[in-house]
Amino acid sequence: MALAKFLKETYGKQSVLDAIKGGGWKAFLDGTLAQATLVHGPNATFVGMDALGNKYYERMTEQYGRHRWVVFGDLSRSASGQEPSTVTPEWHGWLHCITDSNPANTDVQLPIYHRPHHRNYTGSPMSYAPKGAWQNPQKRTWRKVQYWQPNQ
Amino acid sequence: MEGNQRSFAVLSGKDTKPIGDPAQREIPKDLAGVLDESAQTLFLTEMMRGLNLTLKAFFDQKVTINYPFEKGAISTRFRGEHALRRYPTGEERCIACKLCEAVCPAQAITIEAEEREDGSRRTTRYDIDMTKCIYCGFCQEACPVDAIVEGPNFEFVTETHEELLYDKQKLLDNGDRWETEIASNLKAESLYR
Repeated sequence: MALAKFLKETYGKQSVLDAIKGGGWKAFLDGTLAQATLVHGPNATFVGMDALGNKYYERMTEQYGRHRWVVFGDLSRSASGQEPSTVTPEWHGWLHCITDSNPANTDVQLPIYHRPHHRNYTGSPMSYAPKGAWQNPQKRTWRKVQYWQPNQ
Repeated sequence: MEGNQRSFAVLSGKDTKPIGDPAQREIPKDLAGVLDESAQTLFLTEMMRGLNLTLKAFFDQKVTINYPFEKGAISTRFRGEHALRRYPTGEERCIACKLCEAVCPAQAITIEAEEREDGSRRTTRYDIDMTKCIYCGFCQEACPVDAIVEGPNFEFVTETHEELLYDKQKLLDNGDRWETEIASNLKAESLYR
């Protein structure tokens, strides 16, 4: 029952059959996914969800070091699926057992200059390119000082 | 306790030596000892004991974590990807004192400074070659204003070398995104710094 509920919630489907059709069958090919969705995931405490759709779970009866885990919003095996760098900085410390506080139990104060988190963009067109890199459009025209242009 | 640990490979008798290097063992001189050792060799008892230990390890509880769903426990002092921090007002902290550049044992940091329009000294260039960096953390220890820090992120692998040549914009962007966790880690460590 817990497994059925977990599968339906993870894949956002109404029935177990739909969840299996909607990607759940991949657990038979993917051992880590099977461990997370079939073995480890059910019967766990749902702690919270971050802005990128990752769900965080906890079960204190697990072996130490395996008691907190994340079920990614995108469970496919694409470049952006099952991507550990999508874990947002607010949840990162909790997931890595640095701290026990997380956005679900503490009020996280975001600084005024906060920018939204994104995954590691390497290999995609959005990837970071330094000055002088071939991918960077302004590759040789950068100036040492870029003056502030108001109203732009 | 010592007596109970005697195994089959050790000959009985008063002059029994503790188990050590097999090459240094005492070669039996009497008939009983020779026969005993021949029997050990014939029945491969050493092999069986070794395999028994392997079998025990096979049934032990595993400590492997299910990455990327589970991630390893790290410290507040973890030294990962670099970030340049800002003051709460949004003003960048770095004052171009170049202490990090001077202390860097791998010489991975390059800084150029210039006077800003309001007269304050700021960096016009702050480059870190992340492929030179050895993640020793000297830069964050040298920094008088906590501007350069090594954040907790270690998942910044890239497909090309160029993407690891961080400039000031990238470092400030890291700081803007990771500030909540960097600040909480620095707060937890404040008693020890």
